[in-house]
Amino acid sequence: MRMTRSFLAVLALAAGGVAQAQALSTEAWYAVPDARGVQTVHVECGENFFDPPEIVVKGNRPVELVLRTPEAGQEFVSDLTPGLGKAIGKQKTAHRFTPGANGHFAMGCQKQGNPNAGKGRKKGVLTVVPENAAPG
Amino acid sequence: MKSPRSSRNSRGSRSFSVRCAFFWLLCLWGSVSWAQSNVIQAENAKPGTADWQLSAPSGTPTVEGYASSTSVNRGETLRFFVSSAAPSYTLAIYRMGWYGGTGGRLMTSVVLPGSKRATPAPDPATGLIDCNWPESWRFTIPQTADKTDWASGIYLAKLTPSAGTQSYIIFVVRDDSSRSTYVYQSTPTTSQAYNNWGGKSLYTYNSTNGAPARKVSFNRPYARGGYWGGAGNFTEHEIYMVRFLEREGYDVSYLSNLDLHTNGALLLNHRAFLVAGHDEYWSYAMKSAVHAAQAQGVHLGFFSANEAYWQVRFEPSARGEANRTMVGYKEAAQSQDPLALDADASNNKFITTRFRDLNPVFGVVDSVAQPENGLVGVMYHGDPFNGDMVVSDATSWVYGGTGVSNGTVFAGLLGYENDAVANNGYSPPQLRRITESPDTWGAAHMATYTTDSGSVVFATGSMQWNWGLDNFSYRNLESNAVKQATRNVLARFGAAPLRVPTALKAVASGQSIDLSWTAPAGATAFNIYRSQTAGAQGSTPYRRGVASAAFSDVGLAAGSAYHYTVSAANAATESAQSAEVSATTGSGGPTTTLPAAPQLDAVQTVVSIKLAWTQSASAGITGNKVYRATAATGPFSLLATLAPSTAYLDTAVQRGTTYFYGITALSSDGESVSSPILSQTAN
Repeated sequence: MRMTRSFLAVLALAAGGVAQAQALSTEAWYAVPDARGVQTVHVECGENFFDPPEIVVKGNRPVELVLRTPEAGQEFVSDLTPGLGKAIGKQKTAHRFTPGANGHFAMGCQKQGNPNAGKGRKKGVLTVVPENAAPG
Repeated sequence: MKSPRSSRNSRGSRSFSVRCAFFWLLCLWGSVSWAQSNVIQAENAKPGTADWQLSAPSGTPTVEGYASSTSVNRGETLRFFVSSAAPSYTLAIYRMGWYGGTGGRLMTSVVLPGSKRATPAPDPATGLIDCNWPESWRFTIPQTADKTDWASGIYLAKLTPSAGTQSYIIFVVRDDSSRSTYVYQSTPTTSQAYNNWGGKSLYTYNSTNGAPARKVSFNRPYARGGYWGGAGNFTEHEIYMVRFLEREGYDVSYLSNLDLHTNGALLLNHRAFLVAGHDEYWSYAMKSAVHAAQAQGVHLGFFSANEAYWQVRFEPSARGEANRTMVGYKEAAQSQDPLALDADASNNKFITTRFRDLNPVFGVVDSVAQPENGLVGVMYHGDPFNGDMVVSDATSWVYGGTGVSNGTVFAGLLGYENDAVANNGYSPPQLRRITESPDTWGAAHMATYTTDSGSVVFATGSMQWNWGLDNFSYRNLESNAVKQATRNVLARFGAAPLRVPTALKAVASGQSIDLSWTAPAGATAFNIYRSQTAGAQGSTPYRRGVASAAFSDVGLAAGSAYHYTVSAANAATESAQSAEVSATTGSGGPTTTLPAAPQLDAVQTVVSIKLAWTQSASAGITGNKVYRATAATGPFSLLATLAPSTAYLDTAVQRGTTYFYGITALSSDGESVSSPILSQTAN
């Protein structure tokens, strides 16, 4: 359940890179509240990818990331909750939180695996926008 | 086909008695066969013009409109719906191609009175904006024998007001009779998804109040694209590929992806399916059609990225016009798509989410509703990006003659959305990645693979690959290596061995066996292989050059098993033999009484040959079949199946060629043996 400082740094760089290229990609996943009012997004930490790589949620509203991975011993990590990892596996695992601060936050999977396995990164960016802002 | 040769083996009462024969000759008309020369080459030799380009573009044009369909077959009518703030405007239609570098050819032009039409408010629930403007003009695409007259292609109707700014209406002219080697698909579904005309698209970033529509209508102009308003995505990436294909004279015809939705079997008329640019929005039927074509060996060229990412559905407009509304709940699918909310799990495969989500999120188990990399080889993994492609496997056949080596960079050709090989359990076997290009998300890939059906798949994983094919818009990214690699892909698509005929069936009927099969694209004839021992057909055909996808093997021994395979052939090559089928002829007992054969009395020709015969003397004749060969020993092909007749005019003859004819009679009990063979030379 621990996340290393170096991984946080890498995630932060990745998030910064994306943020510099464009605030949001055209395919960013804009979370939509379900009947409970929870912004639910299904997330896969694959062997060489993190999908969707960019998620947009509204601040101060509950978020539920439904996480899954084919890998054993994997953890979901995010600098929204630094120092805490969420154990995930083949069974879907719900990670619930309510973001308070707006901005871009790194997220991804703790174990990055073989760097030559397709060279895909298991990293993404969670963007929190103001509660009264856009996302449909 | 029931071979007329069998008449020589006819026995007893079934034998046909030749009573009398006379020839009478009649001079009629000659058949003119239109040579299927390359339509694209002939078309692009015609004079072009650069006038297709807008000289007064605007994001809010004075005149704008839409067409009644994303495509129209030659001979069909297209309607235009136009709003003009100017009192009149010119609607000029151009076909897009190369045309000596001008890029377009003026097809027709008309001046029309203008009227300003209203912009409807979005539907409060779905955001749908359906203009329902009155018709401004209609045009029927000519359907002459000359297929370069309004040739299949991508067309732009340029709208120029008497005063003010311009825009386009884009549409495709199809030729559903085309058997061109390549078929190019335009991508109006993706253009429409991004189109925020009236304030709504399927996207948050360009929809009013950040609230995307869940339904968008084709009954509205395209707004996206600024300078290129009205042409959708066409001028961003696709135009580069179209100019390349037409400049180099590839044998290509065109359709839109709505055609893939409504008639996916059109793909089976061609050897390869080509897409360029941005092809993101697919219906289940579209994806199913491409899977089915691939299973038949049709090659797939994805010169594009973000392929088959979101699933959409189509609905009729409020006025009942089919497929004019595109449904895409996307991120809201789980909470708003009626198919996700109902209790019927059988329709979940049509939920408008990403194809890759249908199984893990909605529990769909289906061979089509799967992640797109199972078909394309790669899948979307991020945007925006604008960078370089890096060669990682220079030994690939794709790079033949390009001079590249590992590490060679295709500058500026990666983006703006990137695809990559995904280790998600759906990657096709034998997938070979041939670029590995560092990007924000790790590395993007260009890849190839080949299926057991013989389908070769090539995917660039980048939209901007097309910028290397042509210097339209003066991007200065045109690359000889990129062009040669593209030629290599197209050459492999065009030259790959003929696919094997499929669905071979053998049905015994008395002492004959009727064979039928599905013909692969590109086949012009078939060879039949036969043996009386399973798997012993050998390599010498039993019958060569069968013209149709059916054959009747007649005069067989009673109570005997026969084993067949069939191969496809054309002037250049022959496919492998199909899977074997078998059938056993009947015992030969007197269970049926075949009618006696008719008597062929006469043949005559100048450039047609008229056959005349005396009808079978048997009672209950229901029809006749006419067989023809160019050698006395065959093989004979079925020329016509007729109601009971005593004459037939064969117009499909070539002067100087001698033809051999046989006639059979049909009754409810079956088919007679053939009349004696008579021959006639067309002259």
